[in-house]
Amino acid sequence: MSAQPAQAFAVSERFAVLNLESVALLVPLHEIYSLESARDIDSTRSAGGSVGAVRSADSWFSVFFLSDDLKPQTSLPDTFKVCAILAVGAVTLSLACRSVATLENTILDLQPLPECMRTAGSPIQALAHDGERLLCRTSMLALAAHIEHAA
Amino acid sequence: MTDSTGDAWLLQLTGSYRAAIGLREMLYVLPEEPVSHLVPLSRPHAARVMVWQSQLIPLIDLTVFLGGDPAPDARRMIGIVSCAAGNDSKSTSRLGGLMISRTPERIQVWDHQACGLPPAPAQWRSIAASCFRHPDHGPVPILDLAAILLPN
Repeated sequence: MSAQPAQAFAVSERFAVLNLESVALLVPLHEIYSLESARDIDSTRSAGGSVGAVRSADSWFSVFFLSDDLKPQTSLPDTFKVCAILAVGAVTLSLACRSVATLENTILDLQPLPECMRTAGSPIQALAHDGERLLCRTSMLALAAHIEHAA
Repeated sequence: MTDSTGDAWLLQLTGSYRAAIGLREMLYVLPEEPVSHLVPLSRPHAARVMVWQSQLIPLIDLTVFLGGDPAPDARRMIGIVSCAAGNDSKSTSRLGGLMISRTPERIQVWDHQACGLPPAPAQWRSIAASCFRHPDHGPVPILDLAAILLPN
């Protein structure tokens, strides 16, 4: 018996990989506004589930630290060294990451999240397998909505 | 009225539950659970994916769906199963990896073996198409793979 998978779609869009503890989030590269050092987080500015705020271009951005199940945590481990500030229009979000990498010249075979895995409010839209790792395709707006609901 | 028969696979799930699927619904059996990856915020019984023939497919632990505890990794085998998706003009398939604890047993099921679903757990009603009485194991639900892989 042959089986055709749920429709996969190859994309050559440029992406950034946001590495959490063991989960890797894949976001469009153009959604990355800036990268800042986690050492510059001002923890006295924590609010609304964030671990603090970081300054970039004369503005302060609340920084969120997500566990591998994407729940906002209030204590940031030392291994999370980078703050990725994402922006779409006027909406911004800063995530603490172990590291951030760009994927260029990589054709990803994105597969929609299987129907049986989907849950309401999940920001994960698709999956891709890149070598030994799984990349979870999401977007800044989906992550922002999730954090607003979960924090 | 004649008593017809169909070929099926008898599955031992990772807990004490048994279930059956049609012969053609099982594509392959992996003797050991392969490397799998956690997908955040997915359903508890379908929280991981694995790669099979270059495709990412969900790993399904029906024991968890039925309310039981997940089995230790060492006891898992994976049955790659398939069901049709979409209408006739644009039909595709959905694949899943069912966690099982032993090699599936090929059996024949006769019409006269039809029986009601076990009363518990109630979750059987949402994933079973029918049920038959096995001479040794009693009522065995026949899985509706579309209900598992393509839930509403």
